Amino acid sequence: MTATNFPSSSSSQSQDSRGTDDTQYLLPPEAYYSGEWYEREQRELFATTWNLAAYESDLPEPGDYVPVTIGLEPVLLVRGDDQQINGFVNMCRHRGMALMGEAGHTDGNLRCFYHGWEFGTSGVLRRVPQRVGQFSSIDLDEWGLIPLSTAVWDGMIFVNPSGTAPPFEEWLGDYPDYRGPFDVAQLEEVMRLRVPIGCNWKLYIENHIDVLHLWYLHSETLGMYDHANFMHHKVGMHWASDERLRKEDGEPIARDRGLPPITHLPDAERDVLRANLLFPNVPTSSSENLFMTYQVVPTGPTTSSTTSTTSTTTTTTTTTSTTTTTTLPPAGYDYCNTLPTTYYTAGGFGPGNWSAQHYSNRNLNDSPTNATETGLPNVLAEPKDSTSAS
Amino acid sequence: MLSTDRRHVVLPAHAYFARSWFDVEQTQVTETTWHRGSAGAHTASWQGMDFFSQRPSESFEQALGALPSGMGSFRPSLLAEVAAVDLDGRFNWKLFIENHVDVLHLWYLHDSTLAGFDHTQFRHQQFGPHWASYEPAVRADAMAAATPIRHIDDRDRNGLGAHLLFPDTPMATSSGFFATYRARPVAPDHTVVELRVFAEPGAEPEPLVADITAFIREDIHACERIQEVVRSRHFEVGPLAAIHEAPVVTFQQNLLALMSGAIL
Repeated sequence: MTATNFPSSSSSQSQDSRGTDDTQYLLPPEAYYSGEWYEREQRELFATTWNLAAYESDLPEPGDYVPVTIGLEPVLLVRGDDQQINGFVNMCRHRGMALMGEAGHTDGNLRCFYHGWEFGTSGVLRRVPQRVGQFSSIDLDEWGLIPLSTAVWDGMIFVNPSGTAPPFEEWLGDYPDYRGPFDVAQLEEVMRLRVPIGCNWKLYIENHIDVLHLWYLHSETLGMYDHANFMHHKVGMHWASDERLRKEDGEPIARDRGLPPITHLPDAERDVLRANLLFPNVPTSSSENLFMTYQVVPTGPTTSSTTSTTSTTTTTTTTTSTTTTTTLPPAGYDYCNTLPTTYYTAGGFGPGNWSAQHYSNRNLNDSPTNATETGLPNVLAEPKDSTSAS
Repeated sequence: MLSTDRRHVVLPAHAYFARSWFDVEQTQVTETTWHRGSAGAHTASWQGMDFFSQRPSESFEQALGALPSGMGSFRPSLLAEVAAVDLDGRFNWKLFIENHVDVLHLWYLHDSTLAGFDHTQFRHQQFGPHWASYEPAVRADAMAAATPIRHIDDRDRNGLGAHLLFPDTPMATSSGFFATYRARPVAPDHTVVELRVFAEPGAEPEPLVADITAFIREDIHACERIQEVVRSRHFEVGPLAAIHEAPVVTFQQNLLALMSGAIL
């Protein structure tokens, strides 16, 4: 274990050279590698906010179920006979067993393999084997699956595992107004790709909302866009942006992304690239050809997994939707490896519209999800000096 | 791996067990470390197995109590160790012990691997902190072993025994084997199950290991699935079976009695 002191803003550089209050990096370096930060984010961030858990298309039929893990919370999504998708704690109420181990379908009950307790798709406890003699006083009504706050929006299923969730609509706020004119219900998922990456999840998010890097890291891949007129917006805790293709001779420069254009988009959307963030960990991007989400899930203090889904117009027959896992890291993640050093510190950010990282940092610190239920001090805002490198 | 003629039953050196006989080195002991690493340890032998403790508060006989009377006619000292296998599990060791003394799960988790036994005739009994049980086979031919143990009586030849040497060493017996499978904790959520199989000299180990690990692997799977949930803010255990899960509660009572003052 190594004690690391985060350099203060006055340690070696003047305020002027580091930037203004709005352009200073807020999180300490240990936020990107310490086990303590990782654990607290699991308990106090992901367990208390709304999370993307799955997609409606993962549970097309009544009786379909999908177990997922959000932070430390086991979640079971079930499509009931009424077509509604319900979320429960994926835990048998008898001995605490993870009820369902993998996605599947039932025409009857959800049965625990350990002692045979059976639950309906609505969560009600329906059968306790050997009830007579072993559980003679049990009241089945008291031991149904624990329900979790669940919401479906734009084909995505969100779960807040806290048990004290604010309304989903309140969390989403005005974000739908900034999604763009996409009718996601008309789109078809054509690819799902899971990529393990060797960096803390927040680096991925901060990279996503960093406008400045577009000119340099993506000089080739995104060079056709007019970054000088990049527009972005704070939407509650979420973030939305758009930019258009550069023009040559008065016309947007041509590009070919290999997919047919989404038919229902208006002409004004044809040259727009959108990059958004559903706080805290769901970047999205969209263009005339596709609509993508790529959720970033922490798998350790310095490791993450991104799951991207690509949807496009239903007329395409390019590929069948499958989940593929690759070990190839996306370009640019060498940056992550520079963080776990004693001397790491971030310098000043670009002014004005380049301060999105600061915005994300501040959301982490100010997030109501960061207010601990235990009344503990907000250590995400006031990190301790001592750290444990993972 | 230990030699077949010196069977050390090594229980974990856990600070909370400091007054117990079963408070010894956490690593597997060889003849060398026995002398070098456990100077001053109190030792005892029973049925060809060696036990030792660093700071016993009672004699070994007192610690063992009446457990031998619950283990039937088996005399492991007359058998040969034919196999030793380590099984890795991502769970806390106590989950494995609680599963072992849980009678109710036999009908469900082991509905295939232990279907040959009449769980309705399952009998179990506490011997101090230890536990012993027996259930007969549904049919006698279900117990046919390629090399049956010669010295056991008809009852043990036609049934399955499952015992616990408190705190962490389950045992199982049948017509063809006497097995111990200690749950050795290596981390809060990581356990190595050390299976050691004793049988008649010359018995083929592979089928014996296959029979035993078939149900132990099911147990490991169940424990790992509980471990997945145990850190959830919603985790809780509901009502337990009045009879078939009572040994789980007894195990926890005995554990807490040893740990009182330490963390509670």
